[in-house]
Amino acid sequence: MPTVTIDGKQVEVPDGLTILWAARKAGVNIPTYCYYPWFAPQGNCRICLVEVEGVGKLQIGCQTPVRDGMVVHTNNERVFKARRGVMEFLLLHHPLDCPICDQAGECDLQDYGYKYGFPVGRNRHLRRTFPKTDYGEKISKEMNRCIHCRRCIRLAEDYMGVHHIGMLNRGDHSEIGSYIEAAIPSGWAGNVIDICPVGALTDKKMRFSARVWDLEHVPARLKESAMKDPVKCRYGSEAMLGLYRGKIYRVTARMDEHRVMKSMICDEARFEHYDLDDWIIEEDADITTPVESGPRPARELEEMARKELEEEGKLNGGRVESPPPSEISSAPGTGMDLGRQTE
Amino acid sequence: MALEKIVFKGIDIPGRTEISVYEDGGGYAQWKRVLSEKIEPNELIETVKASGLRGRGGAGFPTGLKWSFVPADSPKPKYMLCNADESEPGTFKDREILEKDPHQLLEGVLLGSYAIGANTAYIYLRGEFVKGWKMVERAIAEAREAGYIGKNVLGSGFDIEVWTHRGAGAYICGEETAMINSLEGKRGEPRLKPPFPAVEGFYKCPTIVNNVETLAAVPKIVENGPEWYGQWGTEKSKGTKLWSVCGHVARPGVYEVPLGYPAQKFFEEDLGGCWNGNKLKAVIPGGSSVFAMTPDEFFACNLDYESIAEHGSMLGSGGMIIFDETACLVEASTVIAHFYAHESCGQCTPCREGCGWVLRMFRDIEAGQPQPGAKDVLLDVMDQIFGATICPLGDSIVMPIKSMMEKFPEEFEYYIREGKSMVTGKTRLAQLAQPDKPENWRRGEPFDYPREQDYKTSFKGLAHDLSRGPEPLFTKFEDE
Ligand SMILES: Cc1cc2nc3c(=O)[nH]c(=O)nc-3n(C[C@H](O)[C@H](O)[C@H](O)COP(=O)(O)O)c2cc1C
Ligand code: SF4
Ligand code: SF4
Ligand code: FES
Repeated sequence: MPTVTIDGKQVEVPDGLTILWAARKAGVNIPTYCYYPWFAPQGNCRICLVEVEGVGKLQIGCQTPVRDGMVVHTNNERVFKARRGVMEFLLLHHPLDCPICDQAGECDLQDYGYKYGFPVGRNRHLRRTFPKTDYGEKISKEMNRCIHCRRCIRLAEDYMGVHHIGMLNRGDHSEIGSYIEAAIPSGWAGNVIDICPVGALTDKKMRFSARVWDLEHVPARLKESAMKDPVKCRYGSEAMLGLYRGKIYRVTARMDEHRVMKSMICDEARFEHYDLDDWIIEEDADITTPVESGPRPARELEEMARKELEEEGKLNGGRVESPPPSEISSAPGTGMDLGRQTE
Repeated sequence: MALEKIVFKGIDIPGRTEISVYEDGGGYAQWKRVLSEKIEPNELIETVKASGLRGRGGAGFPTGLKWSFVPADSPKPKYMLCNADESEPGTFKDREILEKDPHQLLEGVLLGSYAIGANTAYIYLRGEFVKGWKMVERAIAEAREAGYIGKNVLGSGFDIEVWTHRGAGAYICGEETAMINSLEGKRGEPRLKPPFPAVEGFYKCPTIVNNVETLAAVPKIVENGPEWYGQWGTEKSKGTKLWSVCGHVARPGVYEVPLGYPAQKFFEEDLGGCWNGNKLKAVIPGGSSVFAMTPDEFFACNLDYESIAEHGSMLGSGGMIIFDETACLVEASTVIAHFYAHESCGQCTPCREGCGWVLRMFRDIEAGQPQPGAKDVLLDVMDQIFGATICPLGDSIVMPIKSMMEKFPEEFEYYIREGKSMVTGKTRLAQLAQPDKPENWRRGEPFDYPREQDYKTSFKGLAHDLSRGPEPLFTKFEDE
C-alpha cells in the first residue's frame, strides 16, 4: 500500500487510488466539477489541479493515481492561482444570476467561486449568450450557466442509454444540446438535473417556487400502491423530498456530502408525486457515506424490477406500459464500451 | 558527407506517383525483402531505434522506442495510424510527400505495420488535401494490384489492409488521441494520457500514430541501415528534416537539410534572406505553436532539436515562419489567437474560454480600445492557460504570443498606447475601412475579418464604451 503525503498529512492508501480520493481519506477536500464517481474521469474542468513534487506541470487530482512516496500540495499559492484562473474562465461568460437561480445554495460554482474567485471581473466584453431551449416540459435548460463539465452527457449515455444529448459546436461557443431540441427520451431523464453541478439544468416544476436553503430534506421512498409504473419506480424511488411547511416542493435523488447521487430516481417519482401520502419517510437512510462508484444503469434496473414483479405476479396485464428499455449498443464507437466505466 | 536527400530523394523524378516508376527506383524492394526473408518484427524495430529517427510530427519522440512500447503479446489487434492531418499554420511538408511520393509513404506505413504487428493501417488525411488523398488512394490501389497489400501478402502469411480517412476540417484532429477519437466516429477531442495510444488507443487496442515524414524515412533506413542514416545530423538528432519555410522570405518552399545545419547558413544561403532585402525581425521555427525567436537567437542556433531548444524555442513540426521588419507582431498575434480560438475543441476550461478571451483582447487592441492594463491582463490570462490543459493546444496559443510580447514589448506597448501599429503606422480599423486595397488584406482574402460564423451563437463583439469615440466599424458585422 503506497504512502502519500498530502498537505503534510501522511496517509496509507490502496494501490491505484487517485489523488482526489487519497486526499479525501486524509481529510483534505479537493474541488471538483467534472469528476463524478459514477464515471471514468474525463479531466476537462481543471479545477482539481494539484501540485505533485517532482512533476513540472500541475496534475489533475481526479485522474492521477498515487505513487508511493508522493508528496502532494493541494493548497499552496501555485495551486490557488491555477484554480483562481480556472474559476475566472468558468465565470467569464456566466450570467451571475444567482438571485434568480434555483440551484443557488447548492451550487458548486457558488461554493468554489467564493473560495477561489477573483474579487473583480477583468472581462470587458459582452458575455456569450445562448438561446434558451428546454428539454421538454420538465427540465429547464439554461445554457448560459453551463460550465461544460459534461456530466449530463455521460449520465445519459452510460446510465440512461440515450444518445440524445451531446456537445454542439466547438471552442467557446460549444453548448450542450439535444439533437433536435427535443426532450430526452428516457423515463430517467430528470437525473440530469441532479447531476448538473450548476444551475444549467433545473427542475421546471420547482422553478422559482422555493429556495433550497429553506427546504427541509427528508429521505423517502414511494409507496408501492402509489406507483403508476412499478417497473421504473421499484428501484427508482429512493428519493429525497424537499419540504417546506409540510408541503413537497421538489423531489431529488439522495446525495452524499460531496453532492454525488446515491442512485438514480425515475421521472415518475421526481415529477408526479407531490402528495406526502404517496411517500414512506425513511428517516434513518444513510446519506453521508461518500459514493465511490456508480449504480446500475437504468436498463438493468428496469429489467430486474420487471423480473421480480413478474415473479410476484404484480405485472397485471397492460398495467406496465413503459417503453422497452432503451438499447445500449456496445458496438465499437458508440461510447458505451470505450473509456467509460459502468457497473 | 555530401548533402543528400533522404525523404525527398525521389520526389522530383517524373511520374514518381506511379508504382512502376517507384519500383524502378528501388521501391517496395524493402517490403519484399522483409516479407521474403521473414525478418523478425523486432529486428525492424531495433533498426529504427538504432537509426535515431525521431517523430517529425511535433514532439520529436524516438520512433523506434515508441514502436517498442506496443505490447507484442497482447491478444488485441494492433493498429498503425499515419498522421497526415497537417494543419499547423506554416507547415506544409507532408503535403509534398502525399502528392508527389505517396508510394514511399505507403512503403513506410507497410514496414511500420509489420514491425508492430498491425494488420490494419489508416492514413488520416487533412480534409482539404484533396489531391494528396487522390494520390494516396491511387497508390494504395496500385499497391494492392501489385500484391503488396491484402491477405497473405506475397505468400508470407502476413495480412495488411490500408485505408484512408479524410478529416472534416479540425486542427485538433492532428493530435494523436483526438485523431483516434475522430476515426472511431466520436468528437475529435484529445483523451487523457496515460494510457498512451501505444497501449490503449484505437478501440482501446495498441496503436501507433506516426507523422508522414517519419514514416516516409523508414524505407530508406531499412534499405541502408541505421549507420548510414546516422551519418547525418547530430549526436541526438539524427538524419534529415524537412523545413517548410514561409513568410517574408526570398525563396519560400520545402527544404530537406540534415539536422544540425547552421540556421544562419540556411537562412542566408538556402533561403536567400528576407524578400526585397529587408531586415529579419523574428522567426517562429516550428509551426505556429512554438516560441518566436529573435534574429540573434535564431542565427546562433543549429537546426536540430537540442540546439533550438537551447536557444529558446522548439523544432516542432519544422514549419518556419519568417517575419521581416515590415511585419506588425500585434497583428500577427491576432491572427495566431484567432486560429487557436477557432480550433480549440472546447473540452477543457482554460483553453476553451481563454483562447477566445485572448483573441477578443487583441481585437480590442487593434480597434484602439484596449482595456486598462491590457498587456498585464493578457500575460496573466496566458499564464493561466499555460500548462493547465489536457492537450498542448492550450500551450500553443501562449508560446508564440507570449514570447513575442516578451521579446518585442515596445511594439505591443506602442499599439496599446497609440492605437496604431508601430511598424506600419496604420490602425486595423483604417485598413478595414479600405477593404479593396490588397495591402490591407489578411490571409489573402479581402475583408474576411471578423468572420460571421465566429459570432453565430454568441458574441456581440466588443463591449462598447461610448466615451471612447465612435463605434468601431466592424461591429456592424457582429450584430445579427
Ligand atoms: C494540437 C496538436 C496538433 C497536432 N497536429 C499534428 C499534425 O497535424 N500532424 C502531425 O503529424 N502531428 C500532429 N501533432 C502531433 C501528434 O500528436 C503526434 O505527436 C504525432 O503525430 C506523432 O507522430 P511522430 O512520432 O511521428 O511525430 C499534433 C499535436 C497537437 C498537440
Ligand atoms: S448542463 Fe450541467 S451537467 Fe451538463 S455540462 Fe453543463 S454544467 Fe455540466
Ligand atoms: S487544450 Fe484545448 S484543444 Fe486541447 S483538449 Fe483542451 S480544450 Fe481541447
Ligand atoms: S474534477 Fe478533475 S479535471 Fe474536473
